[in-house]
Amino acid sequence: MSDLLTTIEKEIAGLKLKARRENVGTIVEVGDGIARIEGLSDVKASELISFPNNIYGLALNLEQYNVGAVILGDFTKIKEGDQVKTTGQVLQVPVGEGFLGRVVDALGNPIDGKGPVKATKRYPVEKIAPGVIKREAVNQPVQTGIKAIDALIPIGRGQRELIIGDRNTGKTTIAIDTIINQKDVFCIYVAIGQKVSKVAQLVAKLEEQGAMKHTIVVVASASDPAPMQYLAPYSGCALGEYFMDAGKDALIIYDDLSKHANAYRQMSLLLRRPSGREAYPGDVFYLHSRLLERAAKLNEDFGGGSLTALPIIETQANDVSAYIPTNVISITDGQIFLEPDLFFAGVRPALNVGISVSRVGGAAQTKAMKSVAGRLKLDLAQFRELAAFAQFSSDLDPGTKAQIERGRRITEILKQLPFSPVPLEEQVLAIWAVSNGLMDEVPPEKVKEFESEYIQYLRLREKKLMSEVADKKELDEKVIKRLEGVTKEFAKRFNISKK
Amino acid sequence: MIKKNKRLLNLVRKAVDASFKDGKLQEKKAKDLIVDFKKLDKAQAIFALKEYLRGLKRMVNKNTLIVESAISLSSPDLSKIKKEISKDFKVSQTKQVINLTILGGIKVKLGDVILDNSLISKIKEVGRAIAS
Repeated sequence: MSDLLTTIEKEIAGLKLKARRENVGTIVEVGDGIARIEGLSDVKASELISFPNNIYGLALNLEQYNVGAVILGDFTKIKEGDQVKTTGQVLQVPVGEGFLGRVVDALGNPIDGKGPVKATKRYPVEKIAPGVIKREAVNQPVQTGIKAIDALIPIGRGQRELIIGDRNTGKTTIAIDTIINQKDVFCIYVAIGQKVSKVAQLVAKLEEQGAMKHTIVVVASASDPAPMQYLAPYSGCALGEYFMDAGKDALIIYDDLSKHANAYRQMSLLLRRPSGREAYPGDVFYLHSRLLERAAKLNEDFGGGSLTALPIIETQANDVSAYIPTNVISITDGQIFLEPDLFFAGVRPALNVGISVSRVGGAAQTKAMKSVAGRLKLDLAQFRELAAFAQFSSDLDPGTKAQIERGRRITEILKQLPFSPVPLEEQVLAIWAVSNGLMDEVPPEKVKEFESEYIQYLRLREKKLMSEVADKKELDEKVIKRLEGVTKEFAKRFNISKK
Repeated sequence: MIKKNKRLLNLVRKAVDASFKDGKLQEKKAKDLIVDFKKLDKAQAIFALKEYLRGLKRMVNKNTLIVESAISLSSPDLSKIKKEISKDFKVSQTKQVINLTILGGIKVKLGDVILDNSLISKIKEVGRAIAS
């Protein structure tokens, strides 16, 4: 007790108590999460201001005689005539490893009922993206565990890959599968404007799959005020930047930026900012570009860390030429298109491989995957061209028929159940088998069964081969020769057993 | 609801600036301007007078020194405070407010700037230092 008292006395003795200068203002109007304040002559743009009842706000509109501020909290506790003060600070959020496994709001406050979080540092919510000198080319893959993506639309560490599609086409499922498949990558899932029940289900699924230990969930739900929905992606990005600056790899998912743009539109209209196309403010492009530019691959001089971004955009009736989708498409390094027609036709994930693209491409693929993906892409492209003739397959020449049949089997191989990411070596071997015609005798409806039994067979009988592919991440001649023999033998057995 | 008229608003703001000289309100000029505004049509007159009054209050507050203390200060003390503040700011008038909650010291407000040398703020600062 006496030690504590001595510490307190020392603390007090060391304090230099001077008169403080504060800049204050008076609220003249408040409502809908926005406050108009007279005074605050020294306030700066995006400065944090302090309202009564421990509520904070951001000064966004600096006008001649008043300041427009958004309230980051319950605006019903604030009234006209209340005094507000500047803080001299920009908005910062706590960051650190302590946030892994936790669910937090846009200001970094835990909302999962597991107690306070021990933060390592505080990072500003708004930050300038790393410059050209700090960066290097993307050269390592992010394994999503989804065959169609890892083979045909590979994502690299430090890339921005957009996931775009209509409602209920599997966009969030792709994002969650990617999180579940990560081992050495820290993941941040930012839920913007979503139902709390949906987020709760997602968190439960991540916990069930053991993925929450390397994941942080940032939530600004549909019932949260628009300013919180506006801030959530930036707060999540700050959390990701902490890991990137520490030389580690991080992945951030923004689900979804369409709702983020809506929240920003709401805020801007209430602040009486001039509106443009579709009533969005004029700087809605900058809203997303400054966020997504913060995802980068840093060079070794700056720690070698990376932040990969997977923004999600929801389209209406497949319209990718709308305002916000085109904005984000032009910012990102590629897009994954999901189509409802494919979804309802049973092709899940419902990727339209023809128009999906990754601008990083093979630079973000392992040698093993590169060696099988090239042939796969070609076969699929040929199948797409001939797909219209598939209904007349009895009248076609054998070569065309063979291509169509091969394409059907490839389509079946690329189908995958949700929340079931596939390891790299299984993907490579399955794709190798189908591309080399070893499933041509298998009926299309039995391809999934073949694949599952084939992988099981290899795991039991060829453990060494599997681990060699998994470790070296390439298919050399010796491995291919061994595989050919083993696969032919398995295919013969499978076809005999199914007849 | 009266529609905002940007040109009229700019005119009113210029009128507010013109109503002050060295931080002091020129009452005769203000009265003349009010008479002029009343000559406008009803809607514009109401708007102009409302904005003019708001502007006058703003300017008066900007140059009014409010000294908050726990006990009543003497005139020489108030003059001393005014003299010190006038070195950096324009002060047209001084008001004294007795506020027992500050416990001691003074709190000086001029426009939207507060110089807080009160005892209560120092106690709170000590509390924050101990808590951290």
